[in-house]
Amino acid sequence: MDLETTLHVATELAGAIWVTLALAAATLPLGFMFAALTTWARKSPYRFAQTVASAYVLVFRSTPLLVQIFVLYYGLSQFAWVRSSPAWIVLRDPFACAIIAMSLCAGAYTAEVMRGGLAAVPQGAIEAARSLGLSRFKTFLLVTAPIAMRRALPAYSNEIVVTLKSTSLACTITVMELTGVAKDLMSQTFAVIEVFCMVAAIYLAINMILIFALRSLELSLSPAYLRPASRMRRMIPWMSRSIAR
Amino acid sequence: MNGGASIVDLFIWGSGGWSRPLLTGLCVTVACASIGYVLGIVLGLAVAFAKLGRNSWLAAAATVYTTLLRGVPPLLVIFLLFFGTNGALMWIARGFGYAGYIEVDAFTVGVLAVAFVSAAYSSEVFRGAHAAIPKGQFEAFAALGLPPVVGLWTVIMPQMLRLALPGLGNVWILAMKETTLLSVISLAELMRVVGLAGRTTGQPFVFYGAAAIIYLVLIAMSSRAFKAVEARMRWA
Amino acid sequence: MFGKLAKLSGIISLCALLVAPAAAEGQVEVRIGTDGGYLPWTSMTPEGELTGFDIELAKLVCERMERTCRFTAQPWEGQIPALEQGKYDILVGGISITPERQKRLAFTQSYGNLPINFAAAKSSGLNGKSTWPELKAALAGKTIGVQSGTQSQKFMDNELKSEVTIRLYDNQDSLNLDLLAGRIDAALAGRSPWIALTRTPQGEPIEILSPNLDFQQFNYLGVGVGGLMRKDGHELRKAWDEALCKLKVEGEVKRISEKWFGFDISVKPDPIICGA
Repeated sequence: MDLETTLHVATELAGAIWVTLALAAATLPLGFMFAALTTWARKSPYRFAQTVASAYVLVFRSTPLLVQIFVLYYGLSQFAWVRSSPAWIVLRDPFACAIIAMSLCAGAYTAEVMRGGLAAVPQGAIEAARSLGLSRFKTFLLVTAPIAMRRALPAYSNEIVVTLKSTSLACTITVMELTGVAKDLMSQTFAVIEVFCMVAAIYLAINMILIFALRSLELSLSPAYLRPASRMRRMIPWMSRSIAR
Repeated sequence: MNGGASIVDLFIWGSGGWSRPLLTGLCVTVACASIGYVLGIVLGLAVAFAKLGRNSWLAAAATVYTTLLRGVPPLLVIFLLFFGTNGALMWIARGFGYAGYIEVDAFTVGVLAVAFVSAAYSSEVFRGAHAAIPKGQFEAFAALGLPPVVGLWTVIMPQMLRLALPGLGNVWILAMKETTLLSVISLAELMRVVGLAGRTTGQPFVFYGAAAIIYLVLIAMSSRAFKAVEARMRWA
Repeated sequence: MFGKLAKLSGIISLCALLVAPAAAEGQVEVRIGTDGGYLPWTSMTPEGELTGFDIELAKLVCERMERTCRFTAQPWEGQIPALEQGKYDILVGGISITPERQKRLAFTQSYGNLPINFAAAKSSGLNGKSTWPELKAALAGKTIGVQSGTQSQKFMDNELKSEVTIRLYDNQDSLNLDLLAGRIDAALAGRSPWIALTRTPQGEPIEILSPNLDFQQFNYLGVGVGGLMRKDGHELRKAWDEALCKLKVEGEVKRISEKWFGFDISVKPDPIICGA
């Protein structure tokens, strides 16, 4: 690849980073919201809510996201009544469709993460809080949620990274994010491996920042007695070595 | 879109129907995902212990490995693995005077790609499980005078596996979905067959719908199995 | 049972790390790569057999060259690196010839050129313009869909990039669906997919817009599609081009094109390659 092409590719890709980030930034909070709703429904005493929540998680976790995006975008638009309904204002827009499909999917996965986190809360801690006279809500807020959050964070950080990478599927419904632009550039210039490596470097950089930020959050959420001195050394061994000396 | 053939015709077994290629695609998907997954779990356990171990260089290497494989889009992992191994093999062969084209078959590369990626994710799951084991357990086997290896194997590992199971279930789903990308290296897995059938017949929805149902059944079945094992281990 | 068998064979192939030298002796076999999912250029039957305009033509070329050919289907993104690495000798399947692409790889002479047209809903009022500038003015500010990597995209980039919103699609089916749904105001593609669409009951509200955009008017469209090769494949390229010259003169390209497209998309023999 000559210099001119490289520069052209690099500038085009740089412009698309924002689209990818915007997709992820919109998807994550929405997904979290769906997950929280699902978790609440699963724990609720209403059988109907439980069934709906379980079905939602099952369906969205078990089918490829690509299929979900397709069905939402191309599938719904085949019905005339959808096109004449007010929902069409949102569904007409590919960007909005991508966000809806991805956050529904992320929500299902995040709900599983939340389930895992809640299951890891020791029953004794909850009982202790209740016997101290804390209300249900206060127990949840002060005891269950913090412990569950800490337990679920490694899995949730996985989920964040996966979501960021799955934004690449939005290009199948004409949202020109990083992968979409890269595909276009590849078919223009034929520099497939080179363009792909550049895209990968961008995704990697974004994800590394995310992973390290989440790792430090995880560390800061751990109580001091669970935070082994060697943790830091594990993260950056060469650095701590020089410190140890 | 063409509305020519009825849905039944599309799925007829034999000439002109797509059931047979779909089933073959399904077999490729399941074989690739399951072999890759098992290899990935074994590798992931090794990576997790490397991360938790005393050797800081090994730990750093393991961290770099997981960061790289989790951070890079899976499609690139497949691309690099395929064209990278072929390139390397040809380079070596050229040293011996053979100038032709050599290729590692697409299935092998597919299995390796699934294995490497699921190793990265499962190592994180194992790490999380390890962190969730109460410190007392470690102190207990030390107090009993068990050597660390035996203690790890008999006391820590069973608990770790139990705690890791839900996470490992997620990794299995991930492995299944990873295979949907393997068509770029000309592996005719399920999604590739579905895409081809959809475009050839002009009925993408019928086939994408079929794919959704197949994946749903597969994953529902396997998550049932995971839940059953989980329930069993809780009592053990 | 079948699954177990596949698994078993998978394990075996894994253990053996099946390393298969593709071309055994010399270069007798021509290895041809194609997408298999791009009608009517290249397509695949349920039996796994490749068909399509490009496939049929390539088979004829192989016959004329007196070489055996082997076709492999692989999605487009994977084909280019595979060609560069030597897995294939040539790629076919409606691949547009562009100067930018020629920087890196070589093309055979062009063998087909699909005239392109805009299509839109009958109710859009976009039809009936007699010249391109008139239509261009009417399209300003609209959202227009096009399949990426095609002649049509080339046209959009050259003529309309700043005036309209362009949406890129992976394939013609998606483009059709969005045109029918009204997400895009108009779409640009080869004439044959539009003829096919407007003949179906679903495609009833769509019409093909005048004027026809042909290559007499727009030089850069005149190049058309060709077989894609590495720059070092002179010998095969020469043989392929010679065979194409003959097939064009004999009217074979025209015949196959009428079979697959419904009209003639063949291109005159390249005078530099075929002689006067």
